[in-house]
Amino acid sequence: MRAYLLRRLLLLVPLVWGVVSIVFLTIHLLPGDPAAVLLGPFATSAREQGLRHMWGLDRPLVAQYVFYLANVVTGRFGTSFLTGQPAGYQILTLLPHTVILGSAAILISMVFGIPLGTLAAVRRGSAIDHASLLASLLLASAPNFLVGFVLLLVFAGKLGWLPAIGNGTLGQVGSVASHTILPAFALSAGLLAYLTRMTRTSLLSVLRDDFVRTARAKGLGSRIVIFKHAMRNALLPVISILGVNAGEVVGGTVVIETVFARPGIGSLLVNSVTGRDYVQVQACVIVLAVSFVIINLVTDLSYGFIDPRIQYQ
Amino acid sequence: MGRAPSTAVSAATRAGTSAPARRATFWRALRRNVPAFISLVFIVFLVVTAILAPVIAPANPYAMAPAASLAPPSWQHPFGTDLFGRDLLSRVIYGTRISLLVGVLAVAIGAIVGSGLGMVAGISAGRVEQLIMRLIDIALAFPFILLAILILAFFGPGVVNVMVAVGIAYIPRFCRLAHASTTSLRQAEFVEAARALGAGRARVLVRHVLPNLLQFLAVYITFSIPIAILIEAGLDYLGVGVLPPTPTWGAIINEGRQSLLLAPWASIFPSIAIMLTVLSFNLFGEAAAGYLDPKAQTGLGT
Repeated sequence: MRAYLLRRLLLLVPLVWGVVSIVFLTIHLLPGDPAAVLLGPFATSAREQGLRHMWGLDRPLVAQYVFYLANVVTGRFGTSFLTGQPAGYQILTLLPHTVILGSAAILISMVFGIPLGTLAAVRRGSAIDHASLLASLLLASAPNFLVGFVLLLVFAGKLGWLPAIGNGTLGQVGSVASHTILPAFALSAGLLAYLTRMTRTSLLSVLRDDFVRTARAKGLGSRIVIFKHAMRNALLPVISILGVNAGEVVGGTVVIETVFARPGIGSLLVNSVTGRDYVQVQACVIVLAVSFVIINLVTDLSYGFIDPRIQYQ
Repeated sequence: MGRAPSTAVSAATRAGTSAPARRATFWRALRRNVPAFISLVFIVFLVVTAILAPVIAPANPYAMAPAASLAPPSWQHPFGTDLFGRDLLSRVIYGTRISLLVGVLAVAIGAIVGSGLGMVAGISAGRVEQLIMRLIDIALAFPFILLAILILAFFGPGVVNVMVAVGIAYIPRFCRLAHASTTSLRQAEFVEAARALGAGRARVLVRHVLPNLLQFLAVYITFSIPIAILIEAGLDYLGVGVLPPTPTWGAIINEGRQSLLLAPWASIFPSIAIMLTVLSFNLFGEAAAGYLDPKAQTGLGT
């Protein structure tokens, strides 16, 4: 197990290196000179030259590349054009908020999706089953920003139960929680819908298996059969679905943080794109992509804890 | 997004009947599946709407009329008007054009380039395969929308750029699907027979691998189009996608947001359009996937 873990962690290195390299190259894909694009047609060539020098664009490509890698390793990510500070600074202050939002969303999708799917499977054909099918079809077809608007409008606007925008103060649990509930629900919507349906489908198919019939035949109560025998097996495909899709939550933060005007890496990315702060864009993309890779690795590893039959080599 | 169909070999051996006969049975199965059938009718309706937009739309989607600003739905403006007095029905109809076009063409770019790469990687084994698949692994380290935003950040907004950006984001996904199917087909007996008869790699790919891959690609494409439409709407919302005043569903919802409390219709109708479209593609894809692999668990069906 330890050797396997070590090998998986070592495999991250070339992957992250590849991500950083692709992101580094994007600025050189810009049609024309980045400094000229950024400063517009009326800039003096001295200013353009200054900007090129600041970004190191006047140096050979290999030197720029090595410099960029060093900058990423030290967490500075180059100098943000808008703030004049290392792009890593903003990332560092905003990262906790995005991590809180993302983890809350994944948690919500599991805590609500799996029981709801179980209920729908156990009460197959009941009103609850139909209602959950309808709800998940609707949630899966709605753009996530739309789900965000509706939640914002109803719970922050009409009912006034929760704050509409912002992050809350870090360290104060109540403040963070009340600011996180709505965006986390909006962010989890698609995954929640998918997990609910998958849990239902998976549990229904397991309930048809022979070992379940055996358990029933030897007189076990339906509660024990469902929760002790069927659920354990039914959850495996659900967890793998969660693993494949949880990473998309990272992409969703970009949209949801913008809907709720919530400072975070995602909203910083959008602001940097509109502000043409290419250095900050690169930093945000690298950080988000790396978190995506880490989430995928963690879910991959978690199979082993859930299914003891899986042997890591 | 993680709904790659199972191995291609099983279906290749399963489908012993001729192509027209299979098409006929699929059609019969579709007619028994009422939601999927209605979905297909709706998709056809969307395509017709998109093509005939200039004929159907009652007004010019760009024509502003400050006097008619935020008019509620009426006979003259069935969907009402937006802040600038533009007829929302016409804007939603023209929006169908761009949303469908971006959805379909982006997925086409991803499907053609991606599955081409995946097939080449799958058939050529060795160093070429390693190189392509390692690059694809890196591309897959970017969440979908992030890859699109990264591309748009440097190339700027616009219909064509959004299409290309979403298309590029799809390339690694189609590549992985085609690669997995091709490697499993590589060992299939009919492929070995063709190789033994002296068929070159290109011929094996086009004549033997591609036909067996097509049905899986078709299912993946059906599921990918609605996601591309949702992503496009999200990009418009973020302001990095299609620029105003071009009518796209995402942009119309977003413009309506500013006057949401005064005139909720401005956002409601394009929202319904997106949701019905996505739902139709999903239900139809579900039926197609279920037909190809009755054991497939996609989670949406009953």
